[in-house]
Amino acid sequence: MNILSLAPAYRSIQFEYLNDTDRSGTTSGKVENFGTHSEALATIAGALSRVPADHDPDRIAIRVAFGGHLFSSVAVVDEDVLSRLHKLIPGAPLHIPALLALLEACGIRYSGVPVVLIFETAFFADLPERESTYGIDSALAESLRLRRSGYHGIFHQAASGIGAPERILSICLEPQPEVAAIMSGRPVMVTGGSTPLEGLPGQSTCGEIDPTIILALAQDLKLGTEQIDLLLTHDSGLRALGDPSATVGEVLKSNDESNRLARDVLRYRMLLAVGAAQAAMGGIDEIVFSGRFADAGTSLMPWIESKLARFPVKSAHRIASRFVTDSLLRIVSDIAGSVQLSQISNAVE
Amino acid sequence: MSKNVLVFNCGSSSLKYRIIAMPGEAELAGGEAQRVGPRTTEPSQIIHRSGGETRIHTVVMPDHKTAFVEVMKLLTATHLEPDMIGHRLVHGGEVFPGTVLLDSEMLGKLRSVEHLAPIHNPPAVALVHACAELYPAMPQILVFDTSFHSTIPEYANTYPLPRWLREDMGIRKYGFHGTSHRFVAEEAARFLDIPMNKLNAVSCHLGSGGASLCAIVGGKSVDNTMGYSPLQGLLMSTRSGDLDPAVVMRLLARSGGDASAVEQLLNKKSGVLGLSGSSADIRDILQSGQDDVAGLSRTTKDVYLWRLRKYLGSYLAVVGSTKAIIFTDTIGETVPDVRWAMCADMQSFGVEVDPARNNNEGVYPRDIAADESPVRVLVIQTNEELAIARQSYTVFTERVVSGGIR
Repeated sequence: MNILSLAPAYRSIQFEYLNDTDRSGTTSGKVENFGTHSEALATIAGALSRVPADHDPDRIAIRVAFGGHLFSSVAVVDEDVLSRLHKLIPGAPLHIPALLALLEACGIRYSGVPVVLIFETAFFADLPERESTYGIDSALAESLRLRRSGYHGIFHQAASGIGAPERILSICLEPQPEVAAIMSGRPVMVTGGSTPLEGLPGQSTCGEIDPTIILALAQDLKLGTEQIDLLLTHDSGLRALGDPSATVGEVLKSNDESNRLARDVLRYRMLLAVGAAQAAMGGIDEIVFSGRFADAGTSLMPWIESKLARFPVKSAHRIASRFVTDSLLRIVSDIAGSVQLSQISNAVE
Repeated sequence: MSKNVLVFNCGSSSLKYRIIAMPGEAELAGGEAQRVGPRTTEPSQIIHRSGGETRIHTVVMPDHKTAFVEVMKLLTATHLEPDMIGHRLVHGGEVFPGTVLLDSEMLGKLRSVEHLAPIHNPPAVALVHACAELYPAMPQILVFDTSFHSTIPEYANTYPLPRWLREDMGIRKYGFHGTSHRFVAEEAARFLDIPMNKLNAVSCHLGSGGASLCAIVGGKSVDNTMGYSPLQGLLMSTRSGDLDPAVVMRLLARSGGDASAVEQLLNKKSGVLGLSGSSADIRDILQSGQDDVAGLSRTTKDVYLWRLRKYLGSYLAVVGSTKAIIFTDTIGETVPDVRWAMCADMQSFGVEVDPARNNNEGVYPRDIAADESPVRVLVIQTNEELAIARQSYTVFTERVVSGGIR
């Protein structure tokens, strides 16, 4: 089966075409600054036509960042799915309309090819209430649908697949890193929130901060919410503490003085998350690193091990480690390839 | 030589006081001036205890200065004149990293930290000024809740925000409840018979209003769940604790940019009260059955306990070779279910609580850990006034008696 997998982001689409006969033979790339989604797909089709094993895909897999409360598993696009997506627009006013435009373009260029949607939030759909509930007015939270939903569900799911031990600490090393505790395949704790801004600091995102700071920015500096949003999502995080162009991977591996504070803050926040995860699960059997900077786990693991080795327990518990080296698009492609189209219920949660 | 320390703990509309003879730590008198400030439907009064008697004095007290004068009248009448005054201040910011003996320069600097704790600091600062004006020769010592946390390392007190915000606006983690965390840590070290500088512990100050956990290494604070303000961290009585910054921005946008409305919402109408919709006291929620229709009590209880448990795990990982977990203040001292929910199934950290010892109420201090538990679990009563008296007496003997400034 030939699968074209797509990861649309704001004003860009990453793609990967995986040829069935030679699993290693792929064509991948990124289109940016396109006009319409039809033009973007035309560009991708153009790139695919230059490889010898050119075929139209048998299946299209699309990674979707936000599925809200309406998608708790993968979905094959049909009329019902489209109408549910329309309902999500208020919660993701940029992402969902762009996704709908992309789906329309797919329907025209690749008419009849099944499109499988893989949601980052689906893995966390049954996150326990004690973990997903914020400490605010219940009725307000309900009406605005404010709940913790996690962000890197696809990587965490890949980290906790078949054969994995019972209690997994999943550390996803992406530009916005995320730690999750996964028991028997189900998440019980995650650092990400209702958006990826909460939790660990990212390359340019602040992560967890005192809510009063945001109110002080509004009150004392008279900043509007858009200015505050830009400040916290674009000008904060690791770049505000060290080298402004360093990636999460570089910061974690760095011994450079210019990145010392950024590295120490990120590692410390990870240690807090590791301790919380151990308390959530009663222990940790395996630590799994994933994401585009998964290899930085080789620097992080010995540091975490040295911290956890200090607990005053009689028999030291050995924690295994593992690396998920697949890219996001490869994982998405594998999930889409394993889906039995006839068995998809597309059931609403 | 015994010295009488008059300790003031100033609330927004109250003034608690005690006279403690140091170093013996005997309480000679104490009480509370209530409803200080603009006239309310109830009269303002002073409940005064001394010589085993409690009396209620109804007096008009439009401000903390008047309350102070009235308290001094009562003390003078019983011949209990103080040798020094110890003040509790909630927030010393970066200007006051430690306990200080007041002088004219300090007095001037005090105004600059008022705004950091807008409810608590201004009346306390006004009281310090009144004392200095009416008793200029009396040594005054200022004890700040934030000072115990001045040892939190940079990587733990830094928010990943642009440099100009961190440096120009002083945005960093300060931490709170420091006077209480320090006190129970000292008591724990005494109980375990180890020097304070060898104490590695997690201190859980669980009040019926505010609550925070403190990670302690070598007797020094290395982290606190509260942050720039007392809003961050645990789920509290009416405070939300941790919240996605995007949620705060959403609430701000929804209120048309009215930051004070959101501040009220998150500080006064959230937490246990906001989640349950029925009570701001977690004890009510823990006692209520599963009978509420919407299941809100159940959710509130689960969220409250879960966040405590996660932070306990976080701080046990930070401290590493922990000697003790300390529970204190109203909830920490008197609610066994909370301690149990936090410490059960924590053997991987070296923690095991004995259920019978946990339920054995009324004995303080006590160790509720199982015999085989490497980490001791202590229930210790906090005493912020005594903590202030101790610190005041220490500063007094070091700086005043031993011929320092005066």
